[in-house]
Amino acid sequence: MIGLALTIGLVMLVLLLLGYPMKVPLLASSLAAVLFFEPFRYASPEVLVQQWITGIQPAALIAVPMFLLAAEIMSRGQAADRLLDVVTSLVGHRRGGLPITTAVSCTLFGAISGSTQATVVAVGGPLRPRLVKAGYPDSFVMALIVNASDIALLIPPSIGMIVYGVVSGTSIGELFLAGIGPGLLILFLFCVYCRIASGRMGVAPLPRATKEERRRSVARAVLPAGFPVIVIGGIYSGTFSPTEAAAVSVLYAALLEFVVFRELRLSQLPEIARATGLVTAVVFVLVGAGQAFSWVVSYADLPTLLVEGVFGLNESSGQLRVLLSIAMATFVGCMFVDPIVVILILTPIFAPVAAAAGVDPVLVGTVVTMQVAIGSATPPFGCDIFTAIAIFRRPYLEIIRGTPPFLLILLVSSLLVILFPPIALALRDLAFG
Amino acid sequence: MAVATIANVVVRNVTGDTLAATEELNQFLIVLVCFVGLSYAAGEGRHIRMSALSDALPVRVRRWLMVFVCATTAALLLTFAWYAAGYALDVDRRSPVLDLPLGRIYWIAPLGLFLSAVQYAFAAARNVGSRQAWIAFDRLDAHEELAEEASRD
Repeated sequence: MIGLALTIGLVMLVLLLLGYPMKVPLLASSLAAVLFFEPFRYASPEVLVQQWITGIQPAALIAVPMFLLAAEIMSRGQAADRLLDVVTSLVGHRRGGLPITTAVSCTLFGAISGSTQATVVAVGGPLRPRLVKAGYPDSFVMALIVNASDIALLIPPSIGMIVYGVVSGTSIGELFLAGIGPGLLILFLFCVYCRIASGRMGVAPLPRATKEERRRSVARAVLPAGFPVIVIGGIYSGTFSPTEAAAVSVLYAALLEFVVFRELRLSQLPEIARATGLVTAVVFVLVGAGQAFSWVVSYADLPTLLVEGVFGLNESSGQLRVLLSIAMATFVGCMFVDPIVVILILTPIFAPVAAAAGVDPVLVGTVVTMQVAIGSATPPFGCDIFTAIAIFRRPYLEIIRGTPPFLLILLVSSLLVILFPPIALALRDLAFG
Repeated sequence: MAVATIANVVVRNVTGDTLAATEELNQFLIVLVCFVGLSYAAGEGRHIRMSALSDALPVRVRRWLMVFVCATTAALLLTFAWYAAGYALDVDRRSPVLDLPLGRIYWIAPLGLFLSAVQYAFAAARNVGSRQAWIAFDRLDAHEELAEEASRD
């Protein structure tokens, strides 16, 4: 069994380092395990295909393409710009105004989109030039954008939480609400840091917007801001399931951009759908391949090896210890591979121990989502870093240079959430308790 | 292709029609988007990959690495296409609500896998006969694009 674990680990690592597309290491190591190892003597590789197909079929996953579509429509139209404008006009003139604007915008955009990478693109694209022009060092700016995007995964809707909810059978609505607290906590700490850092860098704040300008930008942002109200409010009040909320947000985004703002034309619809289809496929291929891999791992009983052997957990382990182990495993996992894959593989492994220790599955989900978000912004292989390389067109080292202070803040907030679960659970208890 | 399916998924859910039939249809559409999209994404060079190491290599080495990576990926996907075909042949259940033959629908899996294998094979071939590193048949590796832009400026 150790041999099998080593083989899987080694195949994964080597293929990852060689720069194979993410799905290949998953599929190759699963195939190798099924073909060459003892526990699979009676299993056919066809089971992997079956797992792939069943893995992508749960009804709740349908929410993912719809949230992606809504976000695509909003970021091509005016909604995203209007949100950026209103934040700039309200806080831009304070010390650290622009970096704070960036962090707040990432949070707001997180309420439209469910992925960190989309946030890096949508917020980082327009804001980075403004910050650099104002005199902030580029490495600070890029690290800020990459790390603040983590918040987007915690603010509903969140693709990570949908996947966790599906795999673990936890209520996605409850997860969504539990993400808000930790998301705001990180935002708050980032704002404090930005203020201090900007003071030290001696960057002058923007000129104060006039009352009239502010009023106008607020008025312009009212409709796009209705988006989180619909998603969170709808789920909070029990009006929609997350899947229905996703469908309603597509409808709302389409009404806003095509009918009210008239920024987009119907002729752009195929292009939008094409882009969404592409991202959807990338996500679902990973979900499918991740499911096949996860089947191999659990069929060979590797979870026991990891849980007991590596982390030394058993039925009587305390809640704190279990949560910390889970946090560590997901964080480290995400420094290397995609968040969705990490959630798919690690959730089934840790869920039984967490349940035995009596940890609330919603809390586990929040911690997991938080850690995958942080891990995906962390070197060496966090996937947000590669998104940033692609859109900012700067070398790897320059992008990660400013990371340490942000990483420290993120780890402190994770610790806070683990030590004081109400940060995450209070809102959920209020709604569902 | 993916266009129509996504639109369908949306329309069906927006109309508030949560009949079992639409849910079943949605599941098929997702399978369709996934496997059709797989080959489409391969053609666009849009997959998640960790490029830290390969970016550090000189273009010549990187190009041969790409040949190797694309060719072996193609081989792996081809193998999976084979198994998927076996699986699709095996399934003779019909879907519970719409009464559609599931095996027929699942043929999209081997087809999508096969087409992506072809895409990767093309990408490999492209790298053999070129001075630059290609991530897909008509897409340069990100760093190449950078260099191209720099030389144009």
